[in-house]
Amino acid sequence: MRCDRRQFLLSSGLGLGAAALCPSAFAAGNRKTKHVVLVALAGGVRSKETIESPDNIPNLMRIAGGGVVCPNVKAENVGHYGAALSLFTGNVEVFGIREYGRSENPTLFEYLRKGLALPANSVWLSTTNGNQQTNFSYGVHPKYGQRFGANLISADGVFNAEFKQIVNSFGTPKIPSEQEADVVARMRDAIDLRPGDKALPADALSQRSVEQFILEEIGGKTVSLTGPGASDAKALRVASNILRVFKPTFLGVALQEADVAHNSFNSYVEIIRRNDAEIGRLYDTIQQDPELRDSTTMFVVPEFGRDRDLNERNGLDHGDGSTELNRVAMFAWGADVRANKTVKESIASIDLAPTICHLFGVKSEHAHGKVLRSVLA
Amino acid sequence: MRFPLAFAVALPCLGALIGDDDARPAVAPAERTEPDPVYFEERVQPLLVNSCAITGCHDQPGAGRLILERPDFTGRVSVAGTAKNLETALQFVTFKAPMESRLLLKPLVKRDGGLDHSGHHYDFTKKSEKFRLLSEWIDGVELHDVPPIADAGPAISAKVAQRVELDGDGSRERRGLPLNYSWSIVSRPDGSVPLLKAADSARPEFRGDKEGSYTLALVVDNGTLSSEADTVTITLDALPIVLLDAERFRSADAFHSVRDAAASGGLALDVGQEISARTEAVATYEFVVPEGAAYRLFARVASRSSAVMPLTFSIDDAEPDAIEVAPGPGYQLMQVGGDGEQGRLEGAALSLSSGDGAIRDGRLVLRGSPKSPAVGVLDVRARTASMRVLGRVDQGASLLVLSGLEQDGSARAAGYDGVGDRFVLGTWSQGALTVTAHEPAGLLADGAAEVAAQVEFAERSTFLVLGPERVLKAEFERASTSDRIAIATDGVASVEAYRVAQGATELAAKTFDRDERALGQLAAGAHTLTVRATSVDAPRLDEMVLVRADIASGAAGVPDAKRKETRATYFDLVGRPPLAVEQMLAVGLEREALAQRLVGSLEFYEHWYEDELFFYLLLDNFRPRTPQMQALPARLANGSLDVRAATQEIVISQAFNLRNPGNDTFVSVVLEQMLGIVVQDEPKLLEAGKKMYDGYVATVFGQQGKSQSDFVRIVLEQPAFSRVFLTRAYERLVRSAPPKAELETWAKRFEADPRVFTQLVREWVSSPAYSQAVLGLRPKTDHMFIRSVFVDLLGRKPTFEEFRNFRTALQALADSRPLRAVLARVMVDSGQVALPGKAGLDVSAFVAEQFRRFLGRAPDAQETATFAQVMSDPQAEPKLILLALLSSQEYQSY
Repeated sequence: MRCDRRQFLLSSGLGLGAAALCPSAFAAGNRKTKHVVLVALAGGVRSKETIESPDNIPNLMRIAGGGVVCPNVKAENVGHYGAALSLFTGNVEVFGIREYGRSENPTLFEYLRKGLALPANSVWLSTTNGNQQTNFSYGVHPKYGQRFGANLISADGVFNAEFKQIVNSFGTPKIPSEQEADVVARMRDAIDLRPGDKALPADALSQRSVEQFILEEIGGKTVSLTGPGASDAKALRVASNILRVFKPTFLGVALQEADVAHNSFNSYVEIIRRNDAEIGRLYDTIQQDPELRDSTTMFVVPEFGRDRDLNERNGLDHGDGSTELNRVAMFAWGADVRANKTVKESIASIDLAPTICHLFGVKSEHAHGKVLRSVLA
Repeated sequence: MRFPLAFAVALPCLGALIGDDDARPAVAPAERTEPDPVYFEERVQPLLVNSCAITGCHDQPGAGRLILERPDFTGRVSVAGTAKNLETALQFVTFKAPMESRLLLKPLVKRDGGLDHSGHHYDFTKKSEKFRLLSEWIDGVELHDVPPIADAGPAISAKVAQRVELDGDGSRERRGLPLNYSWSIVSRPDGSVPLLKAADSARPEFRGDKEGSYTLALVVDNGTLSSEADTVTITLDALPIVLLDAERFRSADAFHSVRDAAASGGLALDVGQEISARTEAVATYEFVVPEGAAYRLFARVASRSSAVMPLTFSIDDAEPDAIEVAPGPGYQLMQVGGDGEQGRLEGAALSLSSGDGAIRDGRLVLRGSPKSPAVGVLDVRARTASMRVLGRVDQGASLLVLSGLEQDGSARAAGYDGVGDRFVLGTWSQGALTVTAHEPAGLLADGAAEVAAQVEFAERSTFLVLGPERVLKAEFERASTSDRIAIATDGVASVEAYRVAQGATELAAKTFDRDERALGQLAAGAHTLTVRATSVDAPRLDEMVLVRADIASGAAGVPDAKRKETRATYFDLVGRPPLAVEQMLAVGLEREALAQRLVGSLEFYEHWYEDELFFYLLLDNFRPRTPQMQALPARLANGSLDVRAATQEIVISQAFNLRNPGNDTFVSVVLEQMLGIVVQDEPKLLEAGKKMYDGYVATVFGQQGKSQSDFVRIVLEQPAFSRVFLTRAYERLVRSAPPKAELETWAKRFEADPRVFTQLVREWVSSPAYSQAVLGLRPKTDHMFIRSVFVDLLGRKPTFEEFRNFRTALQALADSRPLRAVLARVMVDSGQVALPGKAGLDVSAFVAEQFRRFLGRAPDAQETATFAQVMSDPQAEPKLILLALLSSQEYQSY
């Protein structure tokens, strides 16, 4: 495993041993998985436009060829927010559509960080936009919570042309020299360290590395992505960068642009195709990295589907209670996933969180889903 | 008995009843129907209160019906007390029959025909003076040569240099003669030279220049007789701010906005209107800095982003249809104020190039003629105000109202086209009207027309265009019942420079290049301020404030506790920290007074609106963009809208609809967000709501409706809305749940009148719960952080674009602190932040100043030592101190 300066600083600051930096130490039993990527293909995507229309998703089909397709995943239609959150908690989360609240259950991020004593930089969530999706990063369970939450970046929120333009109106962002960063850190520590503290909490150091990452990313190419579905594309593009830089133990990606389907079926299909292309790019990033290639497991699943019939706007809502709405297809691939297999048995979308925890040997004590043993090798 | 009820009025009016042929009138007893009240006050009442109204007798129940008001400790009986005593005494009097009046018989000794009296030791005989006085009064004898009574009013507490209005209105001349007033200063603090203006009036103006106690005496006379002197004590406390009073300047009109003077202890000088009223765009003011303290002058400059391109226009008599509108060097500035339900247009902002016109008593009157048509520009600083134009136009004349002026000179147009006798809507561009819609008016049957137009002033200027051959009167109205209207931060004036001269010596002359600047110290004495405006590109001078020099320099300092409280209150009410000058202004200002100043202001509602949009829409790309919605904060501030109606507008807006497409989503979100209902638990309600949304007749909450807006209206009328709304507002402010019982009370008040919202917020700010909340550190929202980093670093608020884009970015992270640090770094590195060089820098003092600036407190010893040690590194620059503070955990809170 490569240890760059950032990781070195992180480890020295955290006072953690080598185990904290070596995901291999987390593998459960004889599992090979050291990294997991979960793509919530949210926004409401029917199987009819995925596995029943392979031309729409050539990359997902390519990925599935080496792994598993589950065409019979039961999804609860509790609104986009609640349904997508359910993927990360392993529970059916009933939330209002615009509700800005956090789950009472721990999320995958919290289970893994607490169970494996991971620093924040080992657990990430890349989302399409901010607001509600920021709440996926941690819940409010008293034994878990923010201190075990994920680093979250909503790509379109930060890396967009308007933001870059405003930032540039103040001048090109400068990345501080190590010496300057050190001076600032010493003074900042004098304020942040509370009486009796011997060292800063790990998250404070983690934030500083994220600060550096953002400064570098602002000048990157993600900003230039435009067009329909660009927000989802940016989320997947940033996810690739996070994988490359931080090599996190767990990386979640939450999309949502497919919901354009309410008003336009054609745009909906276009977004599915674009997302498929970006997922392919993410997959290739993993394949091209020797460390990630053989130690990463990947899941892709919608939070729910859509109605059977078109609405009066030639779009697709999500409220008819049909099979098309409540049954979706999941794709899985990786070191500990069975190869070239279709698992037809009925499973639930809330089973995913316990399964991922299981891969790392962590107990998801508050999740109601079950481990998908039929998917795992 | 009717008379005593009007006692205070009847006494001075009595003279009118008795003729003017005698300066000291004697009224024949036969003309009287009741005993003389003046005689009573002067002669009888002293007898009664000193003999009868003593403890245990006629000053408390138990002594029959004759219960009298006692004098105060100075021996005086108040006017009201005298009236009451007279009313009581008359119950025991038979006019003109002393020996039948129990008031006389009870204290008369029995041997002289008196009655039983338990207080017999106070009894008198027929030969006594007391008998004579009572008998004469009952017989109707009047007193002549009665001097007036001076009343200098109650004691007064005020601030140094604050204008105090004395009150001698309580003085009385009881025979109806005119009173002359004479005030004098009896005592004053050593070295003080107070100002007493209009000392011969009932309400003179007083202004003290030093802390301490002043005694003033009032003597009144009626031309013949003088009163005894009455005194009033005025106690003045120190004031950090010089109150710039309108009447001290050459033009009273320019200072219509000495706003919140009572609340703030004094500010401010808004110079814009005076500038606009002068063609040369130069305004000069004279003011006097009081003795005893030096002051610093601060200028606050508004953002230039909203400057309006000035226009002038003219009408060619020869070609009535050819009206030219073109950008010009002039510009206008005015404010719209209100005086309650009537609504008035206050201040003058009318600029006429020909014709006649003026704003008088809040009403705009224009007169034109074929030779001299009324041509001019009217501008409104407030973003919105309604205007009703009523007028009579002669045949062929037109009346157009242009609004929504754009930078390219185009505008919306509405009005009456006299040539075509039609009402028109359209656009005004390049000096021509393009009609987009019209309707026959049919008004010209008799050769003239009555025209009425209702126009909403938009963000930008509004103009009246008057053609020839008309005499028109335009009346402006504002629907508000509030006496406050937005003093818009979006101004149209621009100021290039100002200078202050002391006598013949120029003190300073500066061109604005930032938002706030202290120009140096002004000594006591007379000064002249000159403000010159030359370009619309220059920033707009918002107000000028004089701050006591020792506070401005930090020598007197702002106590840390006060600094923190002020900072927290600003964050909570307007979502940003105070500017430096606002922090100074808050010295000596109670939190309640500060809340009074901020709550209900335009900025308060802008902050509220942003929070509400975030709550209802979450995503900025669904932000409402119609002029009406953009003007919503201003409409709230000027009282033409209340928060419940504003909520309704948000929810029925196209933006909300786009954000929540489809019946299921829309109805669910409305029920969840406005009433706190979990729709999964209320399937029937959800279905009925969806049906109503779709245009079918349905019933929800017992009310029938058949549209989306019906549904929203019905939901808003539910009692639960008030509770949900107020709970959210309370929690946003106090950061804890509201007490249940009090919430119910608040909700009832809110249901009865939603305008009570601002009063509730003020009450919350004054509550112990808020006091407790202010003590601790509370996390800044992303909204607050953005505004705080701009205000703290750049001394200005962010533009809307800056705010929106930074907010969107910060919301993109679960923990926005890393990006917050990035933003702070970008700004510090921008070169826009004033930073000292390291050479010769007093590091400890600089560190302490920055701690107060950003964290609202002084550094502790360890922090001071660490910063000093780190800064001893040759590579360490002062800007790194700012970066450390801005990225610290503590700066994430307030």
